[in-house]
Amino acid sequence: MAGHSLSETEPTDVAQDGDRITAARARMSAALQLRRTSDLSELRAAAAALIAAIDQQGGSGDDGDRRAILSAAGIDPDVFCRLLALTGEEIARDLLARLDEDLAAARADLAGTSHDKDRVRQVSHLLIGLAGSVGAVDLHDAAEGLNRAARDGDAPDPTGVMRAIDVLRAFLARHGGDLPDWAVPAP
Amino acid sequence: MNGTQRPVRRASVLVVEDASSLQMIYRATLTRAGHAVRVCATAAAALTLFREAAADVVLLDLHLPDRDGLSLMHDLMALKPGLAVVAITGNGSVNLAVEAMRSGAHDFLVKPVEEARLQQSVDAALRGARRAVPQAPGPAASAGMIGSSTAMATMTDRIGSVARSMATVFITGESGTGKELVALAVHNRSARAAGPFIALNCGAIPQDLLESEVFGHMKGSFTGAISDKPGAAQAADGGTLFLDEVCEMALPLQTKLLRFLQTSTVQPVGATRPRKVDVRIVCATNQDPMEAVRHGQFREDLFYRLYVVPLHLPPLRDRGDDVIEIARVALARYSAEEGKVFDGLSPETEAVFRRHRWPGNVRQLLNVIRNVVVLHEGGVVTPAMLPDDLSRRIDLPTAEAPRAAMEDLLGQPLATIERRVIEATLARFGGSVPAAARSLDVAPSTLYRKLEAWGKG
Repeated sequence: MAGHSLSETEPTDVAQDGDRITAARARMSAALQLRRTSDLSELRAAAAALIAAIDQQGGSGDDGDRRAILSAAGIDPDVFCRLLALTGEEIARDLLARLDEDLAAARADLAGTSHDKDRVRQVSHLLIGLAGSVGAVDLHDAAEGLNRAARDGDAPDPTGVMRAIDVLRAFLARHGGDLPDWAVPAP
Repeated sequence: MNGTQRPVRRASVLVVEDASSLQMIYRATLTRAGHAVRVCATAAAALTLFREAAADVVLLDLHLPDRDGLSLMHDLMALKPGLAVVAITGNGSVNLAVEAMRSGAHDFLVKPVEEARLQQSVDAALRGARRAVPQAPGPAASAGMIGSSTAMATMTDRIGSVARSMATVFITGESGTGKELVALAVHNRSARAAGPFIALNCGAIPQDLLESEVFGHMKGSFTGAISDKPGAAQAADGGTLFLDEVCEMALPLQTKLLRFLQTSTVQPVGATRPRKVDVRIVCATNQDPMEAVRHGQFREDLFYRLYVVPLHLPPLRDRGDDVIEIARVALARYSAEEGKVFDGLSPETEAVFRRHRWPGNVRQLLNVIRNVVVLHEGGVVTPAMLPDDLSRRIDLPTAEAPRAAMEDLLGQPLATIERRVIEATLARFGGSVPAAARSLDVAPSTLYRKLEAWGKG
């Protein structure tokens, strides 16, 4: 995982970083509380601020930070971290790269064949399996809804699934290739 | 997953899955468990790899880009008879998974697959593949299943086919047709025959006690829990758990059963940690399970988990001369038990047996024979020796009486008709709910619920 060497800062800077992290954590906590009732932009902004604060400090954050940041990306921290612990660091990077490829292919498939219910059903099946395996709960739930719609004969609307894919891919783009320490628990 | 848990033995596993990230997850899980794993994304690659070196277990996604996974499974099994295949499917393709089980797959997993479930399934597949496939039993071994009708021959064949797999078996049939006997036959002919066979009637146990009966409880977890008690699921570890009248299970407990099926772990009431068990589930109902799902009495997802290999037991009236064969065997057995000598059934008695509708099926027939043996000293069984109830039913003018009864009910609301029929049935059986339930072909708990709703509970 990416190393986070402690930056050489004056004690006063450290104190300021500590305040920043405390504030970022408070903002994150409030955003998580509102998660179900508001749009997710504040949650993501809060997660970005928290990550920036952790980076600024040069530390790795704590377990609460990890859980909050993963939750902001629609990921169940328990499942995700267990998976990374299972694969180990080397394979984890490769796994997340493959996951990104699979997600990109599925998204392209959905964008091109949303009128084809059979294909939508197949792709949503794939996404249910993928998302469930890595703990991507938002995508998993969206894919289940899409699958149900395709199966029940409704006009399947893949917009929600594609948005969930985008959120997850954005997370992977930022952290997948160079996982920060906070993403990987000790084995 | 417990990373230190040792596998059954180090095995060669071929993973056929087109999503590369899932390939990696399955490979990581199985490698960590000590197995040698090869992966591929297409049916063509799978055949090439398998021909190069056959695998002990194949983990097979049934949706492949270049070919139907089921036909690939047939080809692989042709290359290596007895090959253990674990099929993987998405939720919506459960029917395909059922087909795979019928074709000889050892187990099927629904995506997303939990690591523990994956490892357990592969281990169980290995155990199954390592043991010799049990030989089809002779007549003595299947003595519990009497009858040479086509329907029973088909049933015996199907039992033999399903016994060697881990698939969940769902037995349907009217009350008294012998569903538990079939469950026992599946167990006895499986690789788990040396393990326990635990039967639990979900309709006969009050719902508030059923959870404890299935999953066990810890001392002090509720009033009356004076000691730790292992549940049926734990008692069946290494064997088979038979859940009779499974559609009678309350919805909250159905959720727990589903969790049990997904994780293969049990958590006794009051326990802090789940415990892993290795259990094959066989369940049964005398209802139409799809109807129960439609009415919201039975969870659809649980239904699809359980309804993997359905076996339908025909009613006795549709089994031709099986009724005579069963009656003869029962007469000989009960005579020996009672220390009496009977010389078989008279032709008239056989004719009565063939004409009768047997609403209580084999159970009713056995009761009739028991009644004859207990109340008579021996000789040939004649119609005069049969219970009055049986004779009276036969002698009823079958067309007129029901018509008169129908006239009385016509124009009444359906709920009223149901209540009147239930009350009349209870009166006929002297208020015995179990006897009335048998006659109406419903579970006793159904009647208890209705009586309670009518303020008669």
